[in-house]
Amino acid sequence: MHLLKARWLYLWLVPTFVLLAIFSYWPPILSLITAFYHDTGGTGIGSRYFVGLANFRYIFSDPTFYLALIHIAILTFVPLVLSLFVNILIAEILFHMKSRWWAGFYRFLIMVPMVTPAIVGTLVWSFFYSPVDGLLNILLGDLGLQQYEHAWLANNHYALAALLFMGIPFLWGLGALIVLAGLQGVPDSVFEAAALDGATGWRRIRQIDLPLVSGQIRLLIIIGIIGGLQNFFQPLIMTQGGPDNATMVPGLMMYQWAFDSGSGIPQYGLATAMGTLLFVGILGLTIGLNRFVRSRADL
Amino acid sequence: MTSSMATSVVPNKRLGARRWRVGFGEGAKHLVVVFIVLVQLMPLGFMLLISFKSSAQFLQNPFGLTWPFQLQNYTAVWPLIARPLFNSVLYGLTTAVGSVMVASISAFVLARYQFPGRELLYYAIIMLLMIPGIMNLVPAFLIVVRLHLYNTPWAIILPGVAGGQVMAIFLLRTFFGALPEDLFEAARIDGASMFQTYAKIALPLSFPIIFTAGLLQFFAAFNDFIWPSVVITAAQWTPITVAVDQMSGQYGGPIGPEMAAYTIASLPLLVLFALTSRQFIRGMISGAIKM
Repeated sequence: MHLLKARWLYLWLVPTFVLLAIFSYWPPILSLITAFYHDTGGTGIGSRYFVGLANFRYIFSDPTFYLALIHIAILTFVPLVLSLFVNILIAEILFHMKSRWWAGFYRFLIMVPMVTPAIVGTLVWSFFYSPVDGLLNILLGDLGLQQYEHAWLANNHYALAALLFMGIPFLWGLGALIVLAGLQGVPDSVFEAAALDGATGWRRIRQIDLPLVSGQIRLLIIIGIIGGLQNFFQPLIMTQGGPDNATMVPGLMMYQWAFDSGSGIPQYGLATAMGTLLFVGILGLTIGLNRFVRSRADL
Repeated sequence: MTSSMATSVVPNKRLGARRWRVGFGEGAKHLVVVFIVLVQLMPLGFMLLISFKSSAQFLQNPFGLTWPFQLQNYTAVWPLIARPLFNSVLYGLTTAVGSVMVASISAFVLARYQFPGRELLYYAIIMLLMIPGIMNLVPAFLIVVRLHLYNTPWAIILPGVAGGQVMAIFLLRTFFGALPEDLFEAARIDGASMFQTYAKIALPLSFPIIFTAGLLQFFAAFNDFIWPSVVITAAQWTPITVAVDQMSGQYGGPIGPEMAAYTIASLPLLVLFALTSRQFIRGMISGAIKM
């Protein structure tokens, strides 16, 4: 470490902090302010005025909001549980695979969907579900199961399930690799000692491997929850929250108020109020969960 | 590895039973992984397969290979997505280079110099990694409009650099901090300025990690959809992700060219990943774990 005239040092940090001030620090503040206004983005009289808590009250009295909360809970936690299982399974298999070459090759392959634009995968699944020429209906027809053909994304009963199902096989490449990296970081001596004690197979996985990567698993859970609760990408692309709000999620309500309101007049006050609520909810859940899982792990 | 050692010391007659208790034989391991990988790659597989089909071939045989390959699907969509593809590469490169440049300077100062408020400033930066980004979408849009950046490339590049530098500072500061002080001390004794120690010593030594940080940024910028779709409506500045979304959903239209467009949109990152998978994977993992 070197002590230099401090003023010059701060000058070097100016580009970073100017950019952060405009695009990272100011937006949350602006969001919190705008949440207390009726704001349609216009410049005329009546396009922006203070409304107190009215936006929040509106959201909490909107039945769609509660429906959206249920949907986002389902869309977050069902795939999360499944993906924890699949990711750990893949990590264990790759870790125990004898051939390093094949393990490396699979490691490459499971990352491929992560480096393909998310929009591509989503549009391809949209096409699978399409009532006109979708592969799913064609497949059902070919199997003689015509009675089970549906307009999957346009049907109240199936749209949410369709959004869940497209996560198959619930492998999140990076998640598996994080667990794998955790396993590889454990000193060989630990495993050797475990083997000498007769801990092999499932018992070893349960009693040795999993506790050793509990930090990584916690990370996966937290990333999964943060990412999942914010997500509205698939509903936005595939269903616009429909049909009849069957796939509406809070993030999409926010998006539509700001950028795609039915009236064509943006509702920035409502949108930022929703954004603020999501922020508080997600951050609170993350901190709470972090504390809970940590205290459990320390036992 | 150790489990196989354990099995190898077991007498032969019990090997079968032991293997079962290990869970999987070597073949079963491959079987499970291959099955899961195949399911995971299935959408991309069908995308590629159908991108070579005419409408008639698709109706006749949607699931199998059909001859001849309709390469004209690709030539038909190319004019529509060439410019968006260029835009996306432009956004990817500028955000990657910009954020790494800004980040490396700040990371260097934060790692190698002692000054009042240093830790506070550093935490003010990395706490942004913890903040759910969804809250920023609407206000950032309002700011972009206010700054008259709406519908210009800067609406993508500047927020991209601002956000991207955070992870880069995080990765680079750790790396710069671990470099031996002797190197810098020697340079200073020789009269090197602060900028020289940064440009001549720190940067060359950290090229791999800088490359990794830039790479992550390129992928993120190239993949982004929601933000560009909100701040760009001009066709000439549309990125590829938004362009393929606009092409899709014309039910009843020929599906082959659509799939060809998706394939073209996926190719740049796949090629880049194939060439740099080691750095990419390492960067993703260290970025995630340090969070």
